[in-house]
Amino acid sequence: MLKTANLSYKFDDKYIFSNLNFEITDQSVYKLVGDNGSGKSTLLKVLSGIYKNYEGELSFLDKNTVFYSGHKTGLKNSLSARENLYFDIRLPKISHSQINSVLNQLDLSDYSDIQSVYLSEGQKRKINIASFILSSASLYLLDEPFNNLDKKTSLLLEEVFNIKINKGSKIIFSSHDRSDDEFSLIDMNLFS
Amino acid sequence: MFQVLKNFYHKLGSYPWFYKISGKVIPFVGVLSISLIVISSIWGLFFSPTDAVQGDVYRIIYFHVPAVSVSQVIYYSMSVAAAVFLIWRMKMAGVYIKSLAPIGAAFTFIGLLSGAIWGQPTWGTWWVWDARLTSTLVLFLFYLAIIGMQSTFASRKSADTAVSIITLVGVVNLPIVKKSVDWWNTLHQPASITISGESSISNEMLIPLLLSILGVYLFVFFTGLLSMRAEISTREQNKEWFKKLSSNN
Amino acid sequence: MIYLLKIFQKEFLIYSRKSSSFISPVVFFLISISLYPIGISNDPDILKDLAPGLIWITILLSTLISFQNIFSEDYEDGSIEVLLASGQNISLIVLIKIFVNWIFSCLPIIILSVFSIFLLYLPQEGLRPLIISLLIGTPTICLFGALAGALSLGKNSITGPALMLPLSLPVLILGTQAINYSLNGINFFSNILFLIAILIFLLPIILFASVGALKLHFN
Repeated sequence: MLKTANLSYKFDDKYIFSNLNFEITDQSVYKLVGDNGSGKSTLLKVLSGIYKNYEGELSFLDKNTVFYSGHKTGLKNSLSARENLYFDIRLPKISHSQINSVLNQLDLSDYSDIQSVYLSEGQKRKINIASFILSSASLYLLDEPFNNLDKKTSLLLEEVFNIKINKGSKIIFSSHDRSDDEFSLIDMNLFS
Repeated sequence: MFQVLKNFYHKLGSYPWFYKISGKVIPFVGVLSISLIVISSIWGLFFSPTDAVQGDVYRIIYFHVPAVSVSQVIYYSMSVAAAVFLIWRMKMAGVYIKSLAPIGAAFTFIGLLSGAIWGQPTWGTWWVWDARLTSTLVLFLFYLAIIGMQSTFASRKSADTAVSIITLVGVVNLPIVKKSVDWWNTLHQPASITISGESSISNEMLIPLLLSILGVYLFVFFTGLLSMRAEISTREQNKEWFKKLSSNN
Repeated sequence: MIYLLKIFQKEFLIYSRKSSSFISPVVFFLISISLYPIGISNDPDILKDLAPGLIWITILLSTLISFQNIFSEDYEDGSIEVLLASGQNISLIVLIKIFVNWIFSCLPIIILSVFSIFLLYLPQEGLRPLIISLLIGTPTICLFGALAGALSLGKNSITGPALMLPLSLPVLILGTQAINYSLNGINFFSNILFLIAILIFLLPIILFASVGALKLHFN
């Protein structure tokens, strides 16, 4: 459903990555690995449509709704967790009861009405995960989703991965941790 | 004819070609422009006749007129380059705008300053808010905006695009500002000040003036080339051709 | 439609939570208005003549302070990336942002400018053209602010103000002139029409340019 041919991205005259060839067909979670500076974040931004000036080919075989979550949380400091979820542009049809159940699931209920500026990095990440859980996109692009997460939330996130996959969605996420092998790998180092 | 032009356009867009040719032209233009400026200044300041109405003070014309005229011409040339950059994505146009903007700003400033110094004894005031002065001030602001814009984008290409847009916005905005101030002025202060004696300038005054204008234009050409070369060498410092060139020297 | 309403709600909520977003323009306006009589003259005849220009200039300057608010936070917290990735047409969203910014940075001052009748001795017949010209002219200024803000994202450079000032000059001239006309018994209707024309003409252009400028940061 997603295919790249000689996909390259150039910042001014410098290539961030070049000649990426990979294909995503089967239902599985893809882990994007590579050294620092190999262009993982940039690739996710290209795939999500934020960066449009790529070279080579990038084709989606069927119509996608893309969910992107980047390094920056995209949360509004002056809004609470609940409000951030309610007004999340990626969740146009969200209801308050859905939000409540996700907040419970992630142990965020106690903090759900505090302005996000007072939350820790980890708690903000959890709100991002809540958006992820609530979304019904067909392609998920997540930049380092496991950063700043405690063990429990990490396990929950992996569980959610499976649920999403079983519903027929695809997930690509980046990580600097190569150890875990249950995901299909896309290795940026192989292409350089 | 078209083919020749097209070839020239493609050559102009090539950094190595430009770098090579400009290196040959620079010494010649430099010497010529500076000597013209020196000659016209001496001629204008010491040998041209005194003006019947304004006396000796009119001699600042040899600095004021060239500076004001070149500051506008630089801006118009930059807006042509901006259009070229936006339409054909010619990188050299971006280099041109970035390199010429500070020069244009400098000459606009000289123009404003010399105009004020000239205005004091002739009109009895350093500054009037008429259409010409206001639009020159706005021109100066646009130059500053263009210079300031260079650093707001991480990517060189984005910066060049943004700067090109601002340059074009400016070229549309300048006549509007001039018209609206003009309109505003005619309604508020009926007597607008005109420079006396400009139309009845004698030949002995005109020749050094033309020489000084020519000198300043060549000087801008000279400094523009220098500044473009400097810009190219920072942009291309990691390129093969540039490394080869600098290792040869 | 509901979706756009939700975006409006969100922006409105964010601005209303940051009290500085509307209090600082108001305070700035009040400070300036009380400084003019002290700094220039407390003679009602002089102030009366200057009032239209002073009010307009003050509003122009206060937007110079607030135009960075439109996009800078979105840029820093990553909302713009999420917006771009959503694949939606962001022009309408940007328009809503500009509108909410206008509600918070300009509207309170326009309401307060009524007090210039007492503080700057503006004759009463000048009030109607003052309010009308401000209501129509300030959205245009906010549009310029959005463009300047989009261009100078992330950096606090001279660029924004240097760009905004010359662009705003025609609006300033038409606005103050409308008030002066009505004070001299001249019909100011044509000026208002001009201001409306400028707004309608520039709205799509500046909006398009601002969106383009925003995207340039992700290139």
